[in-house]
Amino acid sequence: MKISSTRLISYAISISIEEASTELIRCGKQGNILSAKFLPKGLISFGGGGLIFNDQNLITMASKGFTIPKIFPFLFNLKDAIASLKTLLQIKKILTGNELSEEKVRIALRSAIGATSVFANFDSNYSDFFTEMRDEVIEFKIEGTEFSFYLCFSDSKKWELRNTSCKNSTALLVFSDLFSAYETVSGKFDHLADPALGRVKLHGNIPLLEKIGYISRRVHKVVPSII
Amino acid sequence: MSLKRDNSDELFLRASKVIPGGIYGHVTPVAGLPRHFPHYTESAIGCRFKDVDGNEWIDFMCGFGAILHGYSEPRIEAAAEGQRSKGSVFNQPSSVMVDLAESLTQKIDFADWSVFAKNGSDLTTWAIRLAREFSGKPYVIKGKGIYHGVDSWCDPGLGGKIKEDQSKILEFEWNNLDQLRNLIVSFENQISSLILTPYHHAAFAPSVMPSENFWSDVEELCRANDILLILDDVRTGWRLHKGGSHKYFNFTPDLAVYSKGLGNGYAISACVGKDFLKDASKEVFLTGSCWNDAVSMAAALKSLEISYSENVAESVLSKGADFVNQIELKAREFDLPLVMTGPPSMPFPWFADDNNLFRLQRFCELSANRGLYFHPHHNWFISNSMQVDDLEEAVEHAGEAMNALKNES
Repeated sequence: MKISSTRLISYAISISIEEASTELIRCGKQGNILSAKFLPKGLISFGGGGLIFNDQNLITMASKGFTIPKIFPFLFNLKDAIASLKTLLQIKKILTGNELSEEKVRIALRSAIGATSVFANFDSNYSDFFTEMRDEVIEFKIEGTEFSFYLCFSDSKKWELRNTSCKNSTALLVFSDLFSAYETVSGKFDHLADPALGRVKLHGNIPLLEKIGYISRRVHKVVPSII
Repeated sequence: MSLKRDNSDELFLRASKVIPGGIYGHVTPVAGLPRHFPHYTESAIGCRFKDVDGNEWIDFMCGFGAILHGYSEPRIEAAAEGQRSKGSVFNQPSSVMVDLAESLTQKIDFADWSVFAKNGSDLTTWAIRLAREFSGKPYVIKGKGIYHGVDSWCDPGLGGKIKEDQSKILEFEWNNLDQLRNLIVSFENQISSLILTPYHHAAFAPSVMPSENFWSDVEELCRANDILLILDDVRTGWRLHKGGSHKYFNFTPDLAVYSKGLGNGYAISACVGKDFLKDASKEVFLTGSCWNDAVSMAAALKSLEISYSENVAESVLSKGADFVNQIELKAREFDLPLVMTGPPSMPFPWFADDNNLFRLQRFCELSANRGLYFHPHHNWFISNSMQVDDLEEAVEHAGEAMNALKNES
């Protein structure tokens, strides 16, 4: 599937929003899971369909933190739209807040991994990276916390972000603390220096981590973020 | 046991401010064991080195193969020092360049001429250009996953590439002669050269030796299809046979590239070739700022003399064979499914059912805690300076690491 660069970026933003809302709820907060649905004419809906943006609106929202959704769907699905909007605002509040909480890092990290998975799956620049791979599971952890994220590559030949994995991890990336994980998501990660200094530990299939890391750095350059 | 690493970390922090990534390339800590291996070396003699925190290591990497006779080998250092006192880089080459070319052509049976550079990449790239010049054909075949250097046609990295860089490079799986035959048929009269290492010393994977008829069939296919056969003997040179690795596997390339063991730590590479390629070689521009460096050439001349007269290849193969047997014996003692792959002078361990290397990485971490520099992702090297005592000490510590590994599982 060939996707335009604008569509790819908005797709990555959409998935990062969906993943952020999923993690928000996993953290015990109230809100909607903002499942992204891709509609004709470059539109994307979140949640129950009340919140719809076009690609450019979505990119504006990710870079500036605010944009206007499509008015008619918003009014016709007012209850859902308001609940979805509240979820979005809650995510924004947590991510732009000063406190470095576990909740903030979890949401940011999951969101970033989700965006990376989109580029890994659909950016033609990386189509050669995974052609010969079969089952791969990259596990992301932070020392001192209990949660993990799993980026899984299976028969579908696509990467999927999951809360659990039915297979053993083939690569493991462990951040030494919340700060290191957040620095990574914020684009301040030095992929050569930080492992050397113990801020992140890499185990298992290192070439695979190199590939995903390379894509994630590219994502950070081209996909706007409110962080 | 935890090794001191304050100085190493302090240096690395300074480095990361002024050098991208702190340390880059194949020696970047990320490619090894970042919190178990030191980042910086203070000094090295024989088969041991001391890091900047004073920890002493028994070394199984030999400067990633650049050291064959041991660190600071006195005869080689004396030869280098003798030249250094006269100067290193001049307007013209030094006489030692002629001596070195003569020595190489005398010791390598098919070699009629030689040229020099600094690194393996310099001359693997030049060799494929020479093959194109000679044949007028654009394509090059290489083995899949085989490393030939950092130039765009073979760069294994991810960044800074465009698809056109490798658009004339064809690949086949090591030992898969049917795939090779198919490529030759599909690109009939378009293939200038086939470049291969003597065996497949992959990173992050077990080493794979050539199958029984591999080299004879490869040679035959090349001759039948007017494809020049280029041997990349950069890593393996003088570790398998004193006359070059083609002698170990009983074939004859048209061109061969050497580096690492040639200079024993001094930056030099050489490409040797058959007489019929000499005219074409004159047409392919070759130079570099310090490529006539006489100090490296003097060191290489002495290193080559030692390799040949003392049959160092046979020696490291023999030492390696003892070591490999002892390591496998230890593994069996602890009921660990470990085999050593590759030739004994360049062994690489492999645990069964450990394709993602978790177990090997842990084994190498536990070994590092005991002063053994065992790399988890790259083939090891046996230094000819290793004595029985060194190898026994290494096996003993490796056994302790295996015991700890067994207790963890």
